Amino acid sequence: MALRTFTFTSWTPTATADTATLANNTYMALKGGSGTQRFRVEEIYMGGQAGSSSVNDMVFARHSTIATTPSALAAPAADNILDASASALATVVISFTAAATGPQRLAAGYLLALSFNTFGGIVRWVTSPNEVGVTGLGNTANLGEMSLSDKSDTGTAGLMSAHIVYEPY
Amino acid sequence: MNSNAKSLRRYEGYLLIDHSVSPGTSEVPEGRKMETPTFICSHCNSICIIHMPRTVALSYCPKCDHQICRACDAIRAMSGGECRSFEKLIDQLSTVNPPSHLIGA
Repeated sequence: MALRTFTFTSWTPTATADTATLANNTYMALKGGSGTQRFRVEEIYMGGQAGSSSVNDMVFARHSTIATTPSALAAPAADNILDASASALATVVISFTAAATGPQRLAAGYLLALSFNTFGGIVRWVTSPNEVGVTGLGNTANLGEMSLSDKSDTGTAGLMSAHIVYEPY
Repeated sequence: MNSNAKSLRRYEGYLLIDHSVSPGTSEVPEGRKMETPTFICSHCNSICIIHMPRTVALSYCPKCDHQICRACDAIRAMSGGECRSFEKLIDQLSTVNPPSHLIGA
């Protein structure tokens, strides 16, 4: 058990309605590595990188349909352990930004809505150190997969950077 | 006075939306910064923002001793006070325990 950070720098979310398939590289998703794996999300950070005013209606939500065949992370996305001396888990959580078929956000599955302006805006949410936090279980819908994506009820989303700190166990 | 009494504030998280150098949004306008505590609903696991100043009492489930969101509080009231703890549900579905420092926190 050790905290990990899933980072994705310089990406542009796309407005996607609930229960519609999320396009590749427009989301950051976490999925349990096995049917029994648990993980907890501890922190979400987003920093705007857009060159002009644009509001991103970001939501962190569970999925009603999970992705099929998630792709391995490629730059500028990465997933690293925070403590360099921590031992690796036998089963790792799958972090991904693309898949053969993208996931679909659960309509009533919003865990957090974090609307912000990507022209200089910053968002950070962190859970209490005494709280288990947002929990994922397994690798099936609805508990096993969740993502940070753009719902965008307003305007066009802008370029941003983000990280999600989580702990698999 | 019981010095070992624990406050529910130990479960509070933190949310920052900083538009101090940004055109902002309607919720957090240009030049403003919002810092607010949050809590995770013990029943549905969603993250709830606590509006400041604290003028309204937060919903609470005495059975799991956690704050819950208003929707879950309504369900709790309609069910006669039933506790539908998300953590208990997860524990029933899983054989894996959370990190030891979080058990009984």
